[in-house]
Amino acid sequence: MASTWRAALANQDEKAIDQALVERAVQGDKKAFRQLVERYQRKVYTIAFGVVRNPDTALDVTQDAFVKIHRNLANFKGDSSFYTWVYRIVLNLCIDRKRREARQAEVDYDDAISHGEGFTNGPTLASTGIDNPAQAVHRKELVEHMDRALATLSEEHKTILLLREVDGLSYEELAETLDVPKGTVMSRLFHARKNFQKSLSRYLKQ
Amino acid sequence: MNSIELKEMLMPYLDGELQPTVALEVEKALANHPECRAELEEMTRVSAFSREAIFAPVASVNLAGVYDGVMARIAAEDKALAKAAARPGVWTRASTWLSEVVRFERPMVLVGMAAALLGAVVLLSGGDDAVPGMSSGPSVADSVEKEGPKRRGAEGEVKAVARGGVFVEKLEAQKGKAFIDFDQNDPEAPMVLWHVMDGEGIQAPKGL
Repeated sequence: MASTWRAALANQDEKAIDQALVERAVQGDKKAFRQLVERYQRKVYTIAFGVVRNPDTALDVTQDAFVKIHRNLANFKGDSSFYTWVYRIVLNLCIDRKRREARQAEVDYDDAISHGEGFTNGPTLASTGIDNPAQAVHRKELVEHMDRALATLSEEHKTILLLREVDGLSYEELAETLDVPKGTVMSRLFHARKNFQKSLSRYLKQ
Repeated sequence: MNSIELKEMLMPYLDGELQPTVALEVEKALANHPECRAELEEMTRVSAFSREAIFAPVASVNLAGVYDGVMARIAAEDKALAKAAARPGVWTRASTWLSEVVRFERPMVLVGMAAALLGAVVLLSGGDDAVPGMSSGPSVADSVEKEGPKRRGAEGEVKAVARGGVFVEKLEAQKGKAFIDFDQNDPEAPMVLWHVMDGEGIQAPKGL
Protein backbone atom coordinates (compact mmCIF):
# COMPACT_ATOMS: atom_id res chain seq x y z
CA MET A 1 0.00 0.00 0.00
CA ALA A 2 2.91 2.32 0.62
CA SER A 3 3.71 2.08 -3.06
CA THR A 4 0.15 3.18 -3.86
CA TRP A 5 0.58 6.31 -1.75
CA ARG A 6 3.94 7.01 -3.32
CA ALA A 7 2.31 6.69 -6.72
CA ALA A 8 -0.47 9.06 -5.68
CA LEU A 9 2.04 11.66 -4.49
CA ALA A 10 4.07 11.28 -7.66
CA ASN A 11 0.87 11.73 -9.60
CA GLN A 12 0.21 15.03 -7.82
CA ASP A 13 3.72 16.19 -8.67
CA GLU A 14 3.20 15.28 -12.30
CA LYS A 15 -0.03 17.25 -12.39
CA ALA A 16 1.71 20.29 -10.91
CA ILE A 17 4.48 20.05 -13.49
CA ASP A 18 1.92 19.75 -16.29
CA GLN A 19 0.02 22.78 -15.04
CA ALA A 20 3.17 24.89 -14.84
CA LEU A 21 4.20 23.88 -18.36
CA VAL A 22 0.74 24.62 -19.71
CA GLU A 23 0.77 28.10 -18.18
CA ARG A 24 4.17 28.86 -19.66
CA ALA A 25 3.17 27.45 -23.05
CA VAL A 26 0.03 29.61 -23.09
CA GLN A 27 2.29 32.64 -22.60
CA GLY A 28 4.10 31.61 -25.78
CA ASP A 29 7.02 29.72 -24.21
CA LYS A 30 7.98 27.28 -26.97
CA LYS A 31 10.33 25.33 -24.72
CA ALA A 32 7.46 24.63 -22.34
CA PHE A 33 5.29 23.38 -25.19
CA ARG A 34 8.16 21.23 -26.41
CA GLN A 35 8.44 19.70 -22.94
CA LEU A 36 4.71 18.94 -22.92
CA VAL A 37 5.02 17.24 -26.30
CA GLU A 38 7.99 15.20 -25.17
CA ARG A 39 6.33 14.22 -21.89
CA TYR A 40 3.24 12.87 -23.65
CA GLN A 41 4.26 11.91 -27.17
CA ARG A 42 4.88 8.24 -26.40
CA LYS A 43 1.69 7.83 -24.40
CA VAL A 44 -0.33 9.64 -27.03
CA TYR A 45 1.23 7.56 -29.79
CA THR A 46 0.65 4.35 -27.84
CA ILE A 47 -3.03 5.12 -27.37
CA ALA A 48 -3.37 6.21 -31.00
CA PHE A 49 -1.65 3.06 -32.22
CA GLY A 50 -3.72 0.92 -29.85
CA VAL A 51 -6.91 2.28 -31.41
CA VAL A 52 -6.02 2.72 -35.08
CA ARG A 53 -3.58 -0.23 -35.28
CA ASN A 54 -1.47 1.40 -37.97
CA PRO A 55 1.92 3.01 -37.26
CA ASP A 56 1.64 5.77 -39.88
CA THR A 57 -1.91 6.69 -38.96
CA ALA A 58 -0.95 6.62 -35.29
CA LEU A 59 1.90 9.06 -35.92
CA ASP A 60 -0.40 11.28 -37.94
CA VAL A 61 -3.00 11.26 -35.17
CA THR A 62 -0.27 12.02 -32.61
CA GLN A 63 0.84 15.11 -34.51
CA ASP A 64 -2.76 16.18 -35.14
CA ALA A 65 -3.44 15.84 -31.43
CA PHE A 66 -0.55 18.10 -30.45
CA VAL A 67 -1.54 20.67 -33.07
CA LYS A 68 -5.03 20.68 -31.58
CA ILE A 69 -3.61 20.88 -28.07
CA HIS A 70 -1.44 23.84 -29.08
CA ARG A 71 -4.41 25.64 -30.64
CA ASN A 72 -6.64 25.06 -27.62
CA LEU A 73 -4.11 25.37 -24.81
CA ALA A 74 -5.52 28.75 -23.76
CA ASN A 75 -8.94 27.13 -23.33
CA PHE A 76 -7.58 24.53 -20.91
CA LYS A 77 -8.71 25.85 -17.54
CA GLY A 78 -7.31 23.08 -15.41
CA ASP A 79 -10.75 21.85 -14.30
CA SER A 80 -9.60 18.37 -15.29
CA SER A 81 -6.05 17.07 -15.32
CA PHE A 82 -4.00 17.89 -18.38
CA TYR A 83 -3.58 14.26 -19.43
CA THR A 84 -7.30 13.44 -19.27
CA TRP A 85 -7.82 16.49 -21.49
CA VAL A 86 -5.07 15.26 -23.83
CA TYR A 87 -6.44 11.71 -23.96
CA ARG A 88 -9.92 12.95 -24.76
CA ILE A 89 -8.49 14.87 -27.72
CA VAL A 90 -6.52 11.82 -28.88
CA LEU A 91 -9.48 9.49 -28.56
CA ASN A 92 -11.76 11.86 -30.46
CA LEU A 93 -9.21 12.13 -33.25
CA CYS A 94 -8.87 8.34 -33.35
CA ILE A 95 -12.64 7.93 -33.54
CA ASP A 96 -12.84 10.52 -36.35
CA ARG A 97 -10.06 8.77 -38.20
CA LYS A 98 -11.63 5.37 -37.85
CA ARG A 99 -15.00 6.66 -38.99
CA ARG A 100 -13.35 8.20 -41.99
CA GLU A 101 -11.55 5.03 -42.85
CA ALA A 102 -14.71 3.02 -42.12
CA ARG A 103 -12.75 0.24 -40.59
CA GLN A 104 -14.90 -0.56 -37.63
CA ALA A 105 -14.33 -4.00 -36.23
CA GLU A 106 -17.44 -5.90 -35.29
CA VAL A 107 -16.68 -7.64 -32.04
CA ASP A 108 -19.14 -8.95 -29.53
CA TYR A 109 -18.95 -7.78 -26.01
CA ASP A 110 -21.34 -7.53 -23.16
CA ASP A 111 -20.74 -5.28 -20.19
CA ALA A 112 -23.74 -6.77 -18.43
CA ILE A 113 -22.01 -10.07 -17.67
CA SER A 114 -21.70 -10.60 -13.94
CA HIS A 115 -18.32 -10.27 -12.25
CA GLY A 116 -19.11 -13.68 -10.76
CA GLU A 117 -17.79 -15.27 -13.95
CA GLY A 118 -14.30 -14.41 -12.78
CA PHE A 119 -10.92 -14.94 -14.36
CA THR A 120 -10.43 -18.54 -13.37
CA ASN A 121 -13.70 -19.99 -14.69
CA GLY A 122 -12.60 -20.24 -18.30
CA PRO A 123 -9.31 -20.55 -20.15
CA THR A 124 -6.53 -18.98 -18.12
CA LEU A 125 -3.15 -17.63 -18.99
CA ALA A 126 -1.72 -19.69 -16.16
CA SER A 127 -2.74 -22.84 -18.03
CA THR A 128 -0.67 -21.78 -21.07
CA GLY A 129 2.49 -22.08 -19.02
CA ILE A 130 3.56 -18.51 -19.75
CA ASP A 131 3.58 -16.65 -16.51
CA ASN A 132 5.47 -13.52 -17.26
CA PRO A 133 5.09 -11.64 -20.54
CA ALA A 134 8.34 -9.78 -19.98
CA GLN A 135 10.26 -13.06 -19.88
CA ALA A 136 8.61 -14.32 -23.03
CA VAL A 137 8.41 -11.07 -24.93
CA HIS A 138 11.46 -11.92 -27.03
CA ARG A 139 9.29 -14.57 -28.62
CA LYS A 140 7.96 -12.93 -31.74
CA GLU A 141 5.05 -15.31 -31.83
CA LEU A 142 3.82 -14.29 -28.40
CA VAL A 143 3.98 -10.61 -29.25
CA GLU A 144 1.90 -11.34 -32.35
CA HIS A 145 -0.64 -13.27 -30.29
CA MET A 146 -0.94 -10.44 -27.77
CA ASP A 147 -1.37 -7.95 -30.56
CA ARG A 148 -4.06 -10.08 -32.20
CA ALA A 149 -5.83 -10.55 -28.89
CA LEU A 150 -5.87 -6.81 -28.33
CA ALA A 151 -7.18 -6.26 -31.84
CA THR A 152 -10.18 -8.52 -31.21
CA LEU A 153 -11.48 -6.22 -28.47
CA SER A 154 -14.27 -3.78 -29.14
CA GLU A 155 -13.30 -0.13 -29.43
CA GLU A 156 -14.68 0.61 -25.96
CA HIS A 157 -12.80 -2.24 -24.33
CA LYS A 158 -9.61 -1.46 -26.17
CA THR A 159 -9.82 2.21 -25.23
CA ILE A 160 -10.38 1.65 -21.54
CA LEU A 161 -7.60 -0.90 -21.39
CA LEU A 162 -5.25 1.49 -23.19
CA LEU A 163 -6.03 4.39 -20.91
CA ARG A 164 -5.69 2.26 -17.81
CA GLU A 165 -2.44 0.58 -18.79
CA VAL A 166 -0.70 3.39 -20.65
CA ASP A 167 -0.99 6.01 -17.98
CA GLY A 168 -2.55 4.17 -15.06
CA LEU A 169 -5.58 6.47 -15.00
CA SER A 170 -7.68 6.05 -11.88
CA TYR A 171 -11.31 4.94 -12.17
CA GLU A 172 -12.36 8.51 -11.57
CA GLU A 173 -10.04 9.83 -14.27
CA LEU A 174 -11.24 7.14 -16.65
CA ALA A 175 -14.84 8.13 -15.92
CA GLU A 176 -13.97 11.75 -16.64
CA THR A 177 -12.05 11.00 -19.82
CA LEU A 178 -14.63 8.60 -21.21
CA ASP A 179 -17.59 10.56 -19.87
CA VAL A 180 -19.19 7.52 -18.23
CA PRO A 181 -20.11 6.74 -14.60
CA LYS A 182 -17.51 5.13 -12.36
CA GLY A 183 -19.58 1.95 -12.18
CA THR A 184 -19.44 1.63 -15.95
CA VAL A 185 -15.67 2.12 -15.82
CA MET A 186 -15.29 -0.80 -13.41
CA SER A 187 -17.58 -3.06 -15.37
CA ARG A 188 -16.05 -2.15 -18.73
CA LEU A 189 -12.50 -2.57 -17.50
CA PHE A 190 -13.34 -5.95 -16.00
CA HIS A 191 -14.85 -7.22 -19.24
CA ALA A 192 -12.08 -5.74 -21.34
CA ARG A 193 -9.54 -7.70 -19.34
CA LYS A 194 -11.68 -10.79 -19.38
CA ASN A 195 -12.11 -10.68 -23.17
CA PHE A 196 -8.41 -10.06 -23.62
CA GLN A 197 -7.69 -13.08 -21.43
CA LYS A 198 -10.08 -15.25 -23.47
CA SER A 199 -8.62 -14.19 -26.82
CA LEU A 200 -5.02 -14.52 -25.74
CA SER A 201 -5.58 -17.94 -24.10
CA ARG A 202 -7.21 -19.13 -27.32
CA TYR A 203 -4.26 -17.96 -29.42
CA LEU A 204 -1.72 -19.38 -27.01
CA LYS A 205 -3.39 -22.79 -27.09
CA GLN A 206 -3.41 -23.00 -30.87
CA MET B 1 -15.62 -10.63 4.19
CA ASN B 2 -17.04 -13.62 2.30
CA SER B 3 -15.68 -14.88 -1.00
CA ILE B 4 -18.31 -13.07 -3.12
CA GLU B 5 -17.56 -9.74 -1.45
CA LEU B 6 -13.86 -10.43 -1.74
CA LYS B 7 -14.15 -11.23 -5.44
CA GLU B 8 -15.85 -7.87 -6.04
CA MET B 9 -12.93 -6.15 -4.34
CA LEU B 10 -10.16 -7.87 -6.29
CA MET B 11 -10.01 -5.62 -9.31
CA PRO B 12 -10.14 -2.33 -7.39
CA TYR B 13 -7.53 -3.83 -5.07
CA LEU B 14 -5.32 -4.70 -8.03
CA ASP B 15 -5.75 -1.21 -9.48
CA GLY B 16 -4.99 0.54 -6.19
CA GLU B 17 -8.47 2.01 -5.95
CA LEU B 18 -9.30 0.92 -2.41
CA GLN B 19 -8.87 2.95 0.72
CA PRO B 20 -5.82 1.71 2.69
CA THR B 21 -7.98 0.26 5.47
CA VAL B 22 -10.17 -1.66 3.00
CA ALA B 23 -7.12 -2.87 1.15
CA LEU B 24 -5.74 -4.29 4.38
CA GLU B 25 -9.02 -6.14 4.95
CA VAL B 26 -8.76 -7.63 1.46
CA GLU B 27 -5.21 -8.77 2.10
CA LYS B 28 -6.28 -10.47 5.32
CA ALA B 29 -9.28 -12.13 3.68
CA LEU B 30 -7.14 -13.43 0.81
CA ALA B 31 -5.22 -15.58 3.25
CA ASN B 32 -8.38 -17.57 3.88
CA HIS B 33 -9.65 -17.76 0.29
CA PRO B 34 -7.21 -19.64 -1.98
CA GLU B 35 -9.61 -19.50 -4.95
CA CYS B 36 -9.71 -15.71 -4.66
CA ARG B 37 -5.92 -15.66 -4.47
CA ALA B 38 -5.80 -17.64 -7.73
CA GLU B 39 -8.29 -15.23 -9.21
CA LEU B 40 -6.13 -12.25 -8.22
CA GLU B 41 -3.02 -13.91 -9.64
CA GLU B 42 -4.73 -14.51 -12.97
CA MET B 43 -6.05 -10.97 -13.00
CA THR B 44 -2.54 -9.65 -12.36
CA ARG B 45 -1.24 -11.84 -15.18
CA VAL B 46 -3.91 -10.57 -17.60
CA SER B 47 -3.10 -6.99 -16.68
CA ALA B 48 0.61 -7.58 -17.26
CA PHE B 49 -0.02 -9.27 -20.61
CA SER B 50 -2.37 -6.54 -21.76
CA ARG B 51 0.18 -3.89 -20.79
CA GLU B 52 2.81 -5.77 -22.73
CA ALA B 53 0.45 -6.15 -25.69
CA ILE B 54 -0.07 -2.40 -25.69
CA PHE B 55 3.55 -1.35 -25.27
CA ALA B 56 5.46 -4.02 -27.17
CA PRO B 57 4.56 -2.87 -30.72
CA VAL B 58 5.39 0.78 -29.99
CA ALA B 59 8.42 0.38 -27.79
CA SER B 60 10.91 0.79 -30.60
CA VAL B 61 9.11 3.52 -32.51
CA ASN B 62 11.25 6.62 -32.91
CA LEU B 63 9.24 9.67 -31.93
CA ALA B 64 12.07 12.20 -31.94
CA GLY B 65 10.55 14.12 -34.83
CA VAL B 66 7.10 14.63 -33.37
CA TYR B 67 7.71 18.12 -31.98
CA ASP B 68 9.24 19.40 -35.22
CA GLY B 69 6.41 17.82 -37.19
CA VAL B 70 3.84 19.49 -34.96
CA MET B 71 5.49 22.90 -35.29
CA ALA B 72 5.73 22.48 -39.07
CA ARG B 73 2.01 21.71 -39.24
CA ILE B 74 1.20 24.71 -37.05
CA ALA B 75 3.35 26.98 -39.25
CA ALA B 76 1.69 25.65 -42.41
CA GLU B 77 -1.78 26.16 -40.93
CA ASP B 78 -0.89 29.69 -39.78
CA LYS B 79 0.41 30.52 -43.23
CA ALA B 80 -2.77 29.26 -44.87
CA LEU B 81 -4.89 31.21 -42.38
CA ALA B 82 -2.88 34.41 -42.96
CA LYS B 83 -3.26 33.97 -46.69
CA ALA B 84 -7.00 33.53 -46.34
CA ALA B 85 -7.25 36.55 -44.04
CA ALA B 86 -5.20 38.71 -46.44
CA ARG B 87 -7.48 37.88 -49.33
CA PRO B 88 -9.70 40.98 -49.88
CA GLY B 89 -13.46 40.78 -49.68
CA VAL B 90 -15.85 40.82 -52.63
CA TRP B 91 -16.37 44.60 -52.58
CA THR B 92 -12.68 45.33 -52.33
CA ARG B 93 -11.95 42.99 -55.22
CA ALA B 94 -14.79 44.51 -57.29
CA SER B 95 -13.64 48.08 -56.76
CA THR B 96 -10.03 47.14 -57.56
CA TRP B 97 -11.18 45.51 -60.78
CA LEU B 98 -13.26 48.52 -61.70
CA SER B 99 -10.42 50.95 -61.06
CA GLU B 100 -8.16 48.80 -63.25
CA VAL B 101 -10.72 49.02 -66.04
CA VAL B 102 -10.97 52.79 -65.68
CA ARG B 103 -7.18 53.12 -65.75
CA PHE B 104 -7.17 51.17 -69.07
CA GLU B 105 -5.28 48.34 -67.46
CA ARG B 106 -7.84 45.91 -68.86
CA PRO B 107 -8.28 46.98 -72.53
CA MET B 108 -10.13 43.86 -73.55
CA VAL B 109 -12.75 44.50 -70.91
CA LEU B 110 -13.14 48.04 -72.19
CA VAL B 111 -13.57 46.80 -75.75
CA GLY B 112 -16.16 44.31 -74.56
CA MET B 113 -18.02 46.94 -72.61
CA ALA B 114 -18.04 49.31 -75.61
CA ALA B 115 -19.37 46.53 -77.82
CA ALA B 116 -22.07 45.73 -75.30
CA LEU B 117 -23.04 49.39 -75.04
CA LEU B 118 -23.25 49.76 -78.79
CA GLY B 119 -25.34 46.63 -79.04
CA ALA B 120 -27.68 47.97 -76.40
CA VAL B 121 -28.04 51.29 -78.26
CA VAL B 122 -28.81 49.50 -81.52
CA LEU B 123 -31.34 47.32 -79.79
CA LEU B 124 -33.06 50.25 -78.08
CA SER B 125 -33.13 52.46 -81.20
CA GLY B 126 -35.52 50.02 -82.84
CA GLY B 127 -33.82 47.88 -85.28
CA ASP B 128 -32.92 47.43 -88.84
CA ASP B 129 -33.45 50.96 -90.17
CA ALA B 130 -30.78 52.24 -87.90
CA VAL B 131 -27.64 52.14 -89.95
CA PRO B 132 -24.56 53.94 -88.80
CA GLY B 133 -24.37 57.29 -90.54
CA MET B 134 -28.08 57.47 -91.22
CA SER B 135 -29.36 58.40 -87.82
CA SER B 136 -27.93 61.89 -87.55
CA GLY B 137 -30.13 63.74 -90.04
CA PRO B 138 -33.55 63.44 -91.64
CA SER B 139 -33.68 61.21 -94.69
CA VAL B 140 -35.40 62.24 -97.91
CA ALA B 141 -38.26 59.90 -97.11
CA ASP B 142 -38.58 61.45 -93.66
CA SER B 143 -38.77 64.83 -95.29
CA VAL B 144 -41.52 63.62 -97.60
CA GLU B 145 -43.46 62.30 -94.71
CA LYS B 146 -42.97 65.42 -92.72
CA GLU B 147 -43.73 67.77 -95.46
CA GLY B 148 -46.32 65.87 -97.38
CA PRO B 149 -49.09 63.43 -96.63
CA LYS B 150 -48.49 61.05 -93.72
CA ARG B 151 -47.62 58.10 -95.85
CA ARG B 152 -44.61 56.75 -97.61
CA GLY B 153 -44.66 57.45 -101.28
CA ALA B 154 -44.57 54.54 -103.66
CA GLU B 155 -41.42 53.94 -105.58
CA GLY B 156 -41.22 56.17 -108.62
CA GLU B 157 -43.94 58.45 -107.36
CA VAL B 158 -43.16 62.06 -107.81
CA LYS B 159 -44.72 64.44 -105.49
CA ALA B 160 -44.96 68.03 -106.10
CA VAL B 161 -44.83 69.94 -102.99
CA ALA B 162 -45.82 73.51 -103.23
CA ARG B 163 -43.20 75.09 -101.22
CA GLY B 164 -42.33 78.40 -102.58
CA GLY B 165 -41.92 76.92 -106.07
CA VAL B 166 -38.30 75.99 -105.98
CA PHE B 167 -36.42 74.12 -108.66
CA VAL B 168 -33.99 71.33 -108.01
CA GLU B 169 -30.75 72.52 -109.37
CA LYS B 170 -28.47 69.84 -108.17
CA LEU B 171 -29.08 66.47 -106.66
CA GLU B 172 -26.50 64.03 -105.50
CA ALA B 173 -26.72 61.02 -103.35
CA GLN B 174 -24.10 59.56 -101.19
CA LYS B 175 -24.50 56.51 -99.02
CA GLY B 176 -28.20 56.93 -98.52
CA LYS B 177 -28.11 60.66 -98.00
CA ALA B 178 -29.53 63.06 -100.54
CA PHE B 179 -28.26 66.58 -100.87
CA ILE B 180 -30.59 68.84 -102.76
CA ASP B 181 -29.96 72.42 -103.69
CA PHE B 182 -32.97 74.40 -104.74
CA ASP B 183 -33.07 77.35 -107.08
CA GLN B 184 -35.32 79.60 -105.15
CA ASN B 185 -35.23 82.26 -107.89
CA ASP B 186 -37.63 80.35 -110.15
CA PRO B 187 -41.01 80.53 -108.50
CA GLU B 188 -42.68 78.59 -111.32
CA ALA B 189 -40.70 75.44 -110.94
CA PRO B 190 -42.24 72.82 -108.66
CA MET B 191 -40.24 71.17 -105.97
CA VAL B 192 -39.57 67.56 -106.81
CA LEU B 193 -38.50 64.95 -104.36
CA TRP B 194 -37.45 61.47 -105.18
CA HIS B 195 -38.33 58.75 -102.76
CA VAL B 196 -35.21 56.83 -101.91
CA MET B 197 -35.27 53.34 -100.53
CA ASP B 198 -32.44 51.84 -98.50
CA GLY B 199 -30.11 49.74 -100.54
CA GLU B 200 -31.15 51.32 -103.82
CA GLY B 201 -29.19 53.87 -105.56
CA ILE B 202 -30.68 57.11 -106.54
CA GLN B 203 -31.27 58.37 -109.97
CA ALA B 204 -32.02 61.87 -110.90
CA PRO B 205 -35.35 62.34 -112.67
CA LYS B 206 -35.21 62.70 -116.36
CA GLY B 207 -34.45 66.13 -117.55
CA LEU B 208 -32.10 66.96 -114.73
